[in-house]
Amino acid sequence: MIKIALKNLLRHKRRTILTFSILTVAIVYYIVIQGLLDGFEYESTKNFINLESAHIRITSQKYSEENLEERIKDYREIFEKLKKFNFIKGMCGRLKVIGTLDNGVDEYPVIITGIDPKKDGEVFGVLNYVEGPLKYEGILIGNVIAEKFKVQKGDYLYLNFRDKNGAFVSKEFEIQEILNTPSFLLNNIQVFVNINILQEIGNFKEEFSEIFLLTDNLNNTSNYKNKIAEVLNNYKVTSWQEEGKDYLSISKTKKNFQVFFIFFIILIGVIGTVNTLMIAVFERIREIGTLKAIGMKDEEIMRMFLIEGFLIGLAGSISGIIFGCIINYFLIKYGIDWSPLLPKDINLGYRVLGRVKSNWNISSILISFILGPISTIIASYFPAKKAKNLTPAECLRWI
Amino acid sequence: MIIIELRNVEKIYKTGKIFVKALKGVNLAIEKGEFTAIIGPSGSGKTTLLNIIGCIDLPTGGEIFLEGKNLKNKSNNELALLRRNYFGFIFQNFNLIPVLTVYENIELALNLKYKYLSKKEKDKKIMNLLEIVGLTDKKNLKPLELSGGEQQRVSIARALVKDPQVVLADEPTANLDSETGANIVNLMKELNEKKNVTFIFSTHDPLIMQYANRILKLRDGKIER
Repeated sequence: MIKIALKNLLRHKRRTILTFSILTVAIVYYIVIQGLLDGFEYESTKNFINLESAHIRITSQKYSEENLEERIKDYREIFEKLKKFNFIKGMCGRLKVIGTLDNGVDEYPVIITGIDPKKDGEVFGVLNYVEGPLKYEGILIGNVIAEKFKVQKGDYLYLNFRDKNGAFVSKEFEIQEILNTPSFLLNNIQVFVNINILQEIGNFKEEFSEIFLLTDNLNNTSNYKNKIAEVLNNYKVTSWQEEGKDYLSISKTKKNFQVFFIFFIILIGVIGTVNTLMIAVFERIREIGTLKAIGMKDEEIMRMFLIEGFLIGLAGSISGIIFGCIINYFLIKYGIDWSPLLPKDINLGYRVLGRVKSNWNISSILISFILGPISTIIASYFPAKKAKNLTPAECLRWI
Repeated sequence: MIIIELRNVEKIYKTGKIFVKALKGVNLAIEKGEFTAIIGPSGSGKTTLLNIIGCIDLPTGGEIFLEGKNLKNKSNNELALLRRNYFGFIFQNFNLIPVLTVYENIELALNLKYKYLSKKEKDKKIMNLLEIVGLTDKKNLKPLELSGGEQQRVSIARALVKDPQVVLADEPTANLDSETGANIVNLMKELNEKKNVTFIFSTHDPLIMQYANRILKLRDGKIER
């Protein structure tokens, strides 16, 4: 049965190739797009954790982006309690205050973030963008902010904020580095200073806004978070997944997008195969009559057409996967430079910068492998049923 | 022994709004081992009669008995099994499967009936028949690479490979020259005599008719007595 189905497909090679080529194109498209989206997601997650969220954040209960005054005052006790957890690989505290930057003419609102020059690197990658250690009176600003003030590395800007007592503080800082990172937040809003000077001039001695942790497994942070929350019940403990709700919702959209793609592939497979096999049924109607006359059952005739459909789908899937994987391989190796398409001052959610490499999306490959044959089997059902329902005499009389 | 019996069999075709009565109450009994020719002008109902005998088509009225059993309420699957196990067909246009070789065309029919025969036994059976029809050296050719006579011989081998009780041949020599036609009929006659296979065939050809041990004349859907 398989042999005859295969030979029937090879009878009109061009038509068969054309049919499964359409499916191939759809599957290549699917695999490549999924790989790209996966690459975006992988890169984003990596950068989000590395630059913004770490794995776990500890704050006081009332602390929020709108209420930065609720700081942690007994960080030593927290560090002591966290020592027993072996899964913690890095720990640092940060101090955040709302303020502005000005050059004497223009003013720009920012979130001033004090970072520990020694400890911050254990958790975050911000200092990797800086040549040498963070200076006591140095400041790191994003490239968008730098463009607004038209300043360069080595220039000076005033940092203004209110200290713990509400008194206005203004101090000149040297721009030690202009950050061009994949994070919208870092490029547009956040500025970094040495935590020691911020604590000193702001009267925030020994206070932190947030304590960040890096663990040994980013996928197990929910579990780790619960363990930490048990010992730090007076504090708010959040995982990176909770922090990144906005951008993780993009992943959800991606999954919905995938459903659309799957539907698209099925549609292409169905239309192409119905067309090819319907023509085949009418072309081979006398042959179908002969097969019935020599004793082939209706179900067997139907099975033959379903096998033909399956083989078209299988060929389309396999060739689609091969071509898709070849293209994906190069996209993984070299990536695509998206910088012309990524606006600097609009937050797209994804934390990517310039060249993004694709990823292997195994599920899309498996789905493609199954989906091609399924769609063409569904499609061949109708022509197969047509062939099944004709009587042998009707087929043999067919002109 | 009567193996096939038709009682008052009628067949009406409907083409658009027109009804055509192809068979008008045919009564017929075929004995085992007969070599029967059905003759008659074009449109007299020869093909329809053969199709109905071979369960390829269903009668509009009347009854058919196969070895005494009424076929009236048989399902499509049961009729397919009868065509597979009991009958062999030889068509005027050969009706070979063009994508399969000579060998594979015969093998296809064999596989339907003798699914569980070993590959070796199947091969022996096919090669034996190819030798009988004289096509051993052409077993790997496709039907379109053969002459009309050769194609008809493949068609005969395909019909016989299933060891049918009855072979139905619809004008088997119509598309052949007279010499090839005579060879084909000789072959059929030989198989009829050696293997006691019942042959029922339709023909216009008077040369072929002389081989038949029974001739049925069909005119306007009725058998003339």
